Order: sequence, then structure tokens, then C-alpha cells
Amino acid sequence: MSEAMSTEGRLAEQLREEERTGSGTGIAVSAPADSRWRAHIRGFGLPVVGFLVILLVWQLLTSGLLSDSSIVTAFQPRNAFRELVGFFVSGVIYSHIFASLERIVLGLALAVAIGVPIGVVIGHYRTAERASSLAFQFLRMISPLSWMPIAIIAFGVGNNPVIFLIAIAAVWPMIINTAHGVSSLDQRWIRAARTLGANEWKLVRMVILPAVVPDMLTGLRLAVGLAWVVLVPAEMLGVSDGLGYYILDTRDRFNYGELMAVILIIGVIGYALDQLIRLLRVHASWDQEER
Amino acid sequence: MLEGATKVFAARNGDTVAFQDVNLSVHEGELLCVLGPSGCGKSTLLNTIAGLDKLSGGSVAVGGEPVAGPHFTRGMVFQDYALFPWLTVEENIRFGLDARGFKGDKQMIVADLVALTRLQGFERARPSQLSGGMAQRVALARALANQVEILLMDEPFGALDAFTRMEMQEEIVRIVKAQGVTTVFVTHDIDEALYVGDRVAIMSAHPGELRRVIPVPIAHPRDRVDPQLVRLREEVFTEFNLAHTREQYYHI
Repeated sequence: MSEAMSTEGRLAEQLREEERTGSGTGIAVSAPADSRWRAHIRGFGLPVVGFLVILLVWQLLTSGLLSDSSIVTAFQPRNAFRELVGFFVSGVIYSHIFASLERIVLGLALAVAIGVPIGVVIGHYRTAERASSLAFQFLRMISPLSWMPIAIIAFGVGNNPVIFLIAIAAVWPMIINTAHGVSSLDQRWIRAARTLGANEWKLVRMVILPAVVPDMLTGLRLAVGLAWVVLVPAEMLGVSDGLGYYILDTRDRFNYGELMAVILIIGVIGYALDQLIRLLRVHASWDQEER
Repeated sequence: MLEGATKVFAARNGDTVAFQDVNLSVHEGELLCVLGPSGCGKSTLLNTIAGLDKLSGGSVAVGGEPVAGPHFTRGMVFQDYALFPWLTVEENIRFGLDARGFKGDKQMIVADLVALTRLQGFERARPSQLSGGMAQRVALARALANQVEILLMDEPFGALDAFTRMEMQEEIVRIVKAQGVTTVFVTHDIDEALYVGDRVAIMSAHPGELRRVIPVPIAHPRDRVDPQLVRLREEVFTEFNLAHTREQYYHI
């Protein structure tokens, strides 16, 4: 898989490293009392500082110093946060969040259902890996959104094409990481299982699948990231709810405060989804204890 | 059991003979040690009995049945344990029963084996939490759970420190004899072979050949400094050309 994985493989390695060290999570490694404060700053304080810098830049760019146009100042953080509170007070945003989450979950489920079996086959048989690597590298580099017209022709207007696009975006990391896990599987387990009376099917179910759970979850984390990124533009066409749709809706109503508030929500939910999978990866994987 | 068994590995720069023309039979209920330096093909020999490797010539049969592939009645214990890290100790032991859809009382079989291998209190532990000796007890229990006809052990204590190794040698004899299971035990450790084996099959390397089989007619549990054992040890040393002649030896 070496070539096919280049970029995503590197990203996957980075994620594994991050999970191992606990960096990027706000969890500081236990330290002696005098340096605990410093560790706390490093673990939690610095990321917050970085976030505040972003807010500051946002404020500066929209404060009216660069341009006093009312369109620019409408994008100010204070408007965004006011509208954000308004969203939850009026409850108008909930249906859009749920519509988006529903599509994400269905699209990811489809990607897992398709990607894991393909990944197992590719990882298991060298012939399948050779046969598929060029085709997959080719397909992987096509932006999922390019399929939009085809998706609409095939599935009609509505939820289905959006789910299809999410699945197309998310299926590659699922395939690649599952295949990577299967191909780098410890052969001793296979041999042991065979001498214990496992047939081919039991081998897949009792050894190969549980053994690659950590890789599949790494793939899922990458898949969630891609899916969430693809969701918003995918929802800008042919649906009448969801966060992507709502972005265009706020633009059409010239309500730029609301627009920025939706962007904030998209970022927060994306971050939460990523952390959710990370936690799942840490708690549901057998390889964490060995570290 | 093995007749004219030969294994050749085909390689680009010529074929490598792992072992050739090995004739060896194991008596029922006996613990046979296969002793030899690395490169004598003893592990490959074991793998062919397990059905994991195929012979290039000759035949291998267990209980009159020719070996066609891996079978649960031929249990294997590997040097590096090869436990399934995502399963608990209990689940590892039960793996064979689950894999072949065993219908009887699995819980009782597992509990008996946990007691036999002295793993009480570790039933729910993960392999990563076990010491090497404990891990090898689990691997042994996992192989025995299938009511094996023959137990194959491939340098099972190679990764253990000297003291754990000696403790495990005593344990293996106790457990194997309690189960009355026919065992082939591969090792490169002369003392280990003589301590655990009812007979010791000596192999030489390049090419792998069976030199001779030495019976060890000493009852278990054995004394490690039993004079008879020391004499046999000398015999084995001579076989490997490792012994000095007596004249040289007493030249002080």
C-alpha cells in the first residue's frame, strides 16, 4: 500500500502519534508539582492562546480599521456571538444541526460498510492490492463534489446524493487504513489461529477484524474529517436544511452575523466529532494498553 | 511418524535444504525433545507436523492419518506465545473451542485448564499485562483446550530468563504428564532437552539431519544434577563435538 497511502498514510501516522502522546488533546502528562503549572499551560493554556489570537485577528479584520463598509463590520465577532445565542434561544438551528448529523452518520455508515470489506480483501491478497492501487489512487484524487451532478441524476434531489458524496469522500481512508492494518497483521496470529482450528471465515471474524480495529478507527477519524468538510458544500445543492444550506440562506438574507455563527457551529461540531472518534480509538482499541 | 521427510526451500540463489531424510516416530504419551543448533530445520520440522508447512519429500502422519494441513488436534505453542492481545486470558484459552464451534461445556474446560496451568486470578487479564512465563502458560492452556492428540512446542521458553525457564520446564513436565498428551518439544538448549525429554532426538545443521535419538530413562521429577543426567549430557556434547577429551580435561 506504500504509494497509495503516501499522504493519508502520513496523516494516519500523525494521528497515531498524537493519540500515543496525548498531545493536541489538552491532556498534560503528570509532572512534579512545581512544573505542573507549566505543563498545564502547555497542555491547555497555549491552545487557548492560539484560539484567542484567531479571534483577535477576526476582530481586527472586521473592526472597520481596514474598511468602514457596513458589510465588513457586519462580520464582527460580537454579531456572530449574539446570533449564536439567538440560534439556541429561538431553537431555529437544531433542525439544521440534526439534518447535517444524520447525513454524516448515514454517509459514514455507508463508507464503513463498503470500505472495510474492500480493505480486508486488498490487505489480504497481494493480487487485489496490485490490481486496485492505480485505480484507487486515480479515484481518490477526484474531488467528491465532482460527482454531484451524477449523484443527482442517479439518486434524485434530496438527502441521498448528499449521503452518497459523504460516503465517496470517507470511503478512501477506510479502505486504505483497513488494508494497511490487514497487510501488516502479525502472521503469528494467523498461524496460531489455524492450528487452533479456525477456518477461513473464522479467521476473518475472530482474528483479522478484531486485529485491525485500531487501524479502522484511525481510518474512521480521517473519514470523519473529510466527510465533515464535504458535507457543507454538498448541502448547498438540492436540500432545504442542514448547516451548508443555512450558510447560503443567511447570505441570501444578508445576515452576516448569522453566517459567522453557523461557521462557528460547523467548527465546533467538527472538532467534537473528531474528539469523539479519538476517544473511541483510545478506549475501544486493544493496542492502547501495550503502550 | 515422519518417513524420509525432506524439506527444501526454493530460493533465487539455489535451493536451501532445511532438513533431509528424517525418520522419526513419537510414542504415544511420550515427551520427545528435538535438539539441534539453529539452522538444523527443527522448527520447520515441527511446522510440517502442525501442517503449517508442506514437505518437499517423504511423508508425515499423526495417528496413522497423513497431515494435510493445520488441524485442531495438533496444538502448537510458539516461542513468542502468539496470544491474541485483544482477548483476555480466558478468551484466549477458549479461542480454539469457539473457532471450531465446540458445543460442550466450554466454561468448565477453561476453568480446569486455568487451574492446571495455575493462572487463577488472571482470567480477565490481557496478554500485555502478563510476564513471559504467564503468557506461555496461557499459550499452553490455549493449545490444550482442544483435547489435542499431539502437542507441538517450538522453543517455548526461548524468550524467558534462566530462572523462569527452569521453573517452566518443571511446569511443562507436570502439565503434559498430567494430561498424558504426546508432545514434541523443539529446543536448542541441551540441558532443557535432557531435563524435560523422555527421549532426545539430536539433529545437526547444514544439511538438517537426524543424528540419533537418546532415551533419557530417568523418572520425573528429575534432579538437575542427577549423575545419570550428567553422563547423558556428556554424550550429547560429544555428539555435537563440543566435549574435550578427558586427557585434555584433566591437564591441570
